[in-house]
Amino acid sequence: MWLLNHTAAREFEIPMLKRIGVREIFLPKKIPADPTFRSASVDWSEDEHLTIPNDDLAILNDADWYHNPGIEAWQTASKHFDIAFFILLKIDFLKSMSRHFEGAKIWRTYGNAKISYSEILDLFARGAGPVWSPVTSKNLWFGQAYPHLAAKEPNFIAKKAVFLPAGLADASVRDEWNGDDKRIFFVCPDLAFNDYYQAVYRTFKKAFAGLPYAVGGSQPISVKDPHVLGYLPNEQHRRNMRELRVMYYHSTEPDHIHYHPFEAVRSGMPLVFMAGGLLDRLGGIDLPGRSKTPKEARQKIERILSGDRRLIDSIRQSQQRLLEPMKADACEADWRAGLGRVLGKLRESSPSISLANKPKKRIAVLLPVAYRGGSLRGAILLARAIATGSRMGGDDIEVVFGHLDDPACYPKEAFKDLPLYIKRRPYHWRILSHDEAVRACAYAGLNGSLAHKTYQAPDDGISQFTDCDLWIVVSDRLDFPLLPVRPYLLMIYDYLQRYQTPFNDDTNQRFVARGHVAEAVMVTTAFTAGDARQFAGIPAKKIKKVPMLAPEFFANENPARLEDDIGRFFLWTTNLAPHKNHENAFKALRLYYEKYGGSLKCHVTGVDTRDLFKRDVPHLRGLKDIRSLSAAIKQHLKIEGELPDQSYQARLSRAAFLWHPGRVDNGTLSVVEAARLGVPALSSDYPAMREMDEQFALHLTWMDPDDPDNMARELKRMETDSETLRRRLPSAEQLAGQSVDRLASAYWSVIKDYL
Amino acid sequence: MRTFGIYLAYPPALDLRAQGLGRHLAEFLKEAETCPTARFVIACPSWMRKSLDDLLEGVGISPDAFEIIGPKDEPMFLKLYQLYQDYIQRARRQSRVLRLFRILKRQFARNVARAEGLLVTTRSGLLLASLALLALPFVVMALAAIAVSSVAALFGAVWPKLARSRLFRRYSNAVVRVTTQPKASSTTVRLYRLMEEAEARLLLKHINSRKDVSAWYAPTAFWPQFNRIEAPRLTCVPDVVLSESPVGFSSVGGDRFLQNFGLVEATIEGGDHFVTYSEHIKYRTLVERYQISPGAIDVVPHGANRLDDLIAVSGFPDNKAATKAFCVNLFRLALNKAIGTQQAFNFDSGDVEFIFYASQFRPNKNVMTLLRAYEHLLKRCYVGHKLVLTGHPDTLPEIARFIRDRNLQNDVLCLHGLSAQELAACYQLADLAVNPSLSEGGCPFTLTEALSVGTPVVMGRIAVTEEVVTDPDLQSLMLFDPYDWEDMAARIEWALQNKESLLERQLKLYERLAERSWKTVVNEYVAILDRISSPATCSERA
Repeated sequence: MWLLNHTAAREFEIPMLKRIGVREIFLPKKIPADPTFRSASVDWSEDEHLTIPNDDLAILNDADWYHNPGIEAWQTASKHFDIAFFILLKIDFLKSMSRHFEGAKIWRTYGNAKISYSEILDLFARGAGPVWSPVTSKNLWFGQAYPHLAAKEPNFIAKKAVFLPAGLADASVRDEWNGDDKRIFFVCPDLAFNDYYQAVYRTFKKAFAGLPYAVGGSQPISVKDPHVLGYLPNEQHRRNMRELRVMYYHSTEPDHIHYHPFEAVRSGMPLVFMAGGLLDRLGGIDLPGRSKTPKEARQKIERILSGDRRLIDSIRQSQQRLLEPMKADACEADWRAGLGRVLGKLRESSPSISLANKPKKRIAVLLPVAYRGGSLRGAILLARAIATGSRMGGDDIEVVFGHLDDPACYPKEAFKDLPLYIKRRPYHWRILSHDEAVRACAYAGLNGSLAHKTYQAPDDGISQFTDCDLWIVVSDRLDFPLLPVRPYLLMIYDYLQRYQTPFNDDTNQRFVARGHVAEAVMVTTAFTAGDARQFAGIPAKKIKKVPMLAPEFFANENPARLEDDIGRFFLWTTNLAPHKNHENAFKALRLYYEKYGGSLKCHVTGVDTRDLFKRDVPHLRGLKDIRSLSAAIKQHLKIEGELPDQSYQARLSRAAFLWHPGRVDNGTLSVVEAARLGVPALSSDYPAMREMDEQFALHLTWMDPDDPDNMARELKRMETDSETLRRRLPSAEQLAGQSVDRLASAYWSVIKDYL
Repeated sequence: MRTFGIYLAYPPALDLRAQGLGRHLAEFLKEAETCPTARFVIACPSWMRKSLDDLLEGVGISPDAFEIIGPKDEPMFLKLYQLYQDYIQRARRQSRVLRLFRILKRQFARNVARAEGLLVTTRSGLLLASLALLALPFVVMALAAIAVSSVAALFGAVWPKLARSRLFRRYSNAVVRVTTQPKASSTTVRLYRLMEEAEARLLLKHINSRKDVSAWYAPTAFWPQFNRIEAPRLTCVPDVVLSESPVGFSSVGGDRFLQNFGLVEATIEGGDHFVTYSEHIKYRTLVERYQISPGAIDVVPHGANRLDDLIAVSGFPDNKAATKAFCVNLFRLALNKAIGTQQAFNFDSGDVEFIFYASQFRPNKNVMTLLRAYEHLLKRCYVGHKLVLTGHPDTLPEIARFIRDRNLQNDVLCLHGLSAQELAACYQLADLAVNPSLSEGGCPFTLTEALSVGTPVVMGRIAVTEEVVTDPDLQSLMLFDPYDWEDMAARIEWALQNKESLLERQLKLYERLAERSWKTVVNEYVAILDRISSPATCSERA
């Protein structure tokens, strides 16, 4: 697979590959829509020589080989191809290739102006830590087009160097130049937006002020400059190469060269170029067109413009030397040797050898803080979904559940829902200094730089979860970056901080940053997916939406049985968090009783609710006043506090309805639980609840959490309509359709991509 | 062909390319260069020549296209100031030296390591003695460094007392202000005024000696000296914005703004013929407030301000996608200019949707109402878009405060100091452009700038906009009451939900507005200049 689209490179390298015995070559059909990708084109001509099935070819042709083409494309590629040549634009490409492509990988490098390739890796990683791991570097090669490029790289890259020289498809001299147009030809593309070329052009104008010139090169954005030729049809371009008097090549970059100086040499146009660049290596340092300073170049060009035949002839005759190393004959031996080396190593690490020692894949689900209640239940459900999903997908995966080592918070009975096949490991966070992190990464075989002063790693007292291939952290609540010794995913349920202010911005930045370096962020609602993209800035491709998982409550098989057993109360399940909207709920209750004549009692349950009138926090301070002013509230409101599960369910099953007056969050599964028990619910109208309503077909009734009067009216309506609403609740079969077993495969299809 | 003059007297160190008026002037000059019925000369102070050259070069006008008259040599005072500025920049550029120093330091460290290796492994007494000799200068240097640091510590003990003295503070503050915020220093402003007056006198000499110039045009009303030109004069009055929001502006710009206000009033009061961008400014400002005769005022609305040329990519298989990718790259650069948002680069994925309002922060720009509407949309209507602004939040502290207090610093991005291409990219990537401004000299550029890159726009219902958006149906779709944040929020929400249909309607308006090119505008100016310099008008004036 030659996963590049550079036209000139393709015209040389594809015939070269065939010349040295490669029979079938796949070429990519999708190119990045980036104006800097100006030398690229798509070539379909190799498809007819491929013997792979059409369906497989369609998959490959449809894939984006510059980003993450996806597991299916890589599996197809692995089935049919031994080697993939690629250039690196996105780190996700390298990661996904490392995980899923079994052949040899040749990172094709043509040299950069100012930055080494290891620096490019760091730049692309955006502080995520080293990318070059034992997994990444397996069968990965640094395919340098010029033999000195690896010398600039650190050892971990340099030792992977293989020399596959750059060349020209046709390096013959046409010698069609006449030079009748007495102007300098200077190629300088992208002038409307590229700072580098703008600076080059400014320098050129200064050095050659007063001389006639024409500027060639692609200009994707038009430039208002009479010297700039802009887009030219091929014939016009050829004519310019024939007629313009002299080409000036500015570059002094030792590692990179453009194709146009060779074009000039081929056409016979005299080339005046700056010393110190790659041309020095290709043609020696004694060419007459070579100039040490712009002043010297100007003098030479002035002589050429004024028709100094001696200089012109001497340049034209000697410069042909530059084409010699670019000829296919000169390059073939290196290509043959290089590719032979790559294939030899690939055979050594063939799948039959590696499979024999391959351990079972293991995934850790980590609860990073001492979450209990719904969050703990959610994490257990996630672990179950992964285990079930992988089993259903035919993969042999082990799931480990990690929680903080806090027996008071996590007694054994807290994990009664955790199946035995999911092993539980208590752990604590180990904080590592930069130096410790560097050492840990080095020992783990990771090469590259670390951007942060401090890291954290889950320490289970065994192997710090490094026996696991992937970490899935439930929430982004990590004070420091995770030590990048394993890839990790985040499960993020909401970005409440966008709508409330639970912590300061520095804290927010820390949490948001964790999402950016994660391999992916899993969310359970489109609303949170939107916040991940819009608020946290996570790229859309990294956000993976999976279905909401609800625990299997003790389902009531037949809700109708309870009709005669309904109490004269409704249940308000809450806690003391600000977004639970207590003040508006109290105002609504007052209106419900005093304005709308409501008669149902309100039973309040949930963690810490016994402290509702005791806790001295701003968002609860007004409640006492509202209660003291309303005899009806005093009479009808009953605080039940936190109830054990069974008592809660018993109470809920007798309620006329469940009330959820909270403000925006990731939704509450208590309405699903209520539906299972045959109890309708009145909920605040916000996106996550809407999505829950849709997924579980709950037929919730809605109210505006910012309008106490509307809330009170809807309470009254529930009082009168609850029987009708009860009949619209989903059946047990419908709810069973949303069980963990049914939804597990959706989880696995996301997660397996990162193993 | 007649000759007309353009009078410019902007202050030193002003980059015309970064100014709205500069861009307006550039559009004007592009068409003036090829005007078949008139040629233009430009009169400007010495210090403006470079800025003018840059402006002309930036829009592809040959430096020789216009004759530039006026003093050539800058005053020595200014040269010295410029030298000082260059010195500061040169000091910053010395990073190459530092780089060299670092390389030497690395080399030195390597050599030391090698020497240490020798030191501990050698079995030769002679070699050991040689190494000790080599190390001697460094030991001496280390001792000297210890001595210097001791003296510094002694000075450190005296320094706080010195720094607390009133005399020291007074002069050090003055020096700091002159060097870092020259505009905020009353001393600098006073000196500048003296220099400006002298320069204006010289400039007038040049101007009044040019009898071939039939009439002169000043594109703005900041320069009362313009009224001392003997030939007929046409003064453009874009607006007198300070009078539109007197309380709001009272705490912006201090006395410098008051002085500028005085200059504008003096220019208007001593003026002869005027041109405005809108009927509103003509009647509400010039006629009603300054009692200028309506007959002395012409109205020349803007040409369409197009941004598409700055970002439209061509020559690619999918030019639309390439343009989008190009804009995403520009937006990445723009994010580096965010003020008040930590790690704004987090939003560079190209996937972030946003609403855009390009404007500096001034009291008349009505940013607070927009923020209020935005907060409601975000937190109550769950519209997840970001709001991208281009002002500096500290210009009006209440804006910075609101953003901070309402925890909006990650959703309201203030990208300040954008290049023209970055601005165009923001417009192109935005789902909706908004302009809540309460007063403008002409229909806000937002309208044509946004539509030129295919982005729909909603705006405040103000007179200058209604002069251009005249269709009542379209008005009801795209205009809101700028004094009512709820109306603004509702219009924005509606527009986001109906952006395709809104754009379709607006593009019809845009087609009409785009017909009014800058060539038309220049022709209208030429006609006015022609008229006011015709013998009949001149004799009437006499």
